[in-house]
Amino acid sequence: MKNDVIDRLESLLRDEGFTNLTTLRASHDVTISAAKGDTRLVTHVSDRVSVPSHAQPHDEVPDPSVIAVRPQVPGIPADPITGIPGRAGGSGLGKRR
Amino acid sequence: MPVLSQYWFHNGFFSGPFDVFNEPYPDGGWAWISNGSSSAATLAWNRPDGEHAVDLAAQLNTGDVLAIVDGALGSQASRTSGIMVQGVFWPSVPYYGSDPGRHPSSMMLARVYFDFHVPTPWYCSDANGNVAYYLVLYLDASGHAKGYVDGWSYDYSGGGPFCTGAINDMLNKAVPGAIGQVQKVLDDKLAALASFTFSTMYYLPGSGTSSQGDHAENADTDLAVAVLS
Repeated sequence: MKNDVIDRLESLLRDEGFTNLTTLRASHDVTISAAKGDTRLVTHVSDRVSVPSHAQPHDEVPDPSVIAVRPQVPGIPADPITGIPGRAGGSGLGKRR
Repeated sequence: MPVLSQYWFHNGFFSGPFDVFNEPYPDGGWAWISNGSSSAATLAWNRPDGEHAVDLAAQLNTGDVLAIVDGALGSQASRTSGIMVQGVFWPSVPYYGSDPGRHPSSMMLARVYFDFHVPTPWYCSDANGNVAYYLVLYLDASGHAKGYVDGWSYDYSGGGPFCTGAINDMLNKAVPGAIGQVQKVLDDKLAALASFTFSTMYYLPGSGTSSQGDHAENADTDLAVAVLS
């Protein structure tokens, strides 16, 4: 982002009599708003399209070898990806007597 | 006393609104449950005596945890819901595509999330969305319940036409920046089980209630983890 362009725009707006200048700066865009009487002005400069969603795995997780038992999901192997109904059954010995 | 639980999911397996009917029965005895209405998916689960089910949403909607969340958001955003928990299969986690082999595809993660609101200047629409952390819960080799924060995501609508960059900057800093605090909350909650060892762990939709009779809950907003010695 070229800050000198922003500085020159702000100076231009002040010279033209605009007041209430506010500058919203983000890493990839800057937005200047200003007012002159009943006129309101917004100028937006951006070098990247900003997508309103983001997801990321955490880097600092334990080694998978520490996991001895994963949680079961009752009903699996019904297909969780396609949502196709599945049939399953199971049994086990909860505790020995 | 063992409990026979039957779940009827209205929309799909382990998602959305569901009904559950619990029927306790004496050890060595038997139980039955009948149903006359339709459902998209159903599940019967025999829950042995000694099951310890933890309602994750109830554990997290406490004053101290909510204060941590609100502090992490700071003054630029506000939380507009309680903390909700949802079981999500690994392929449905938003960062699955970055490393599909990170977990088995049948593995369920606990999605801990809440809604937020971000006010904006007059030339932008306000933003509303949600922040989520994805938890892996497990038993270690000694049978202790453990967990860690596997990743995070956010999603919102609004903020246009010019404010999404500033909103993303704020969230990209605040959301991963709070992982340490989320991990500490998880560790503190699991510490209550530290003196016990378990052999089995499984998820149940909703609160995991085993109270006798009919209950209506929502698998998109609550998840329970159950352990057996």
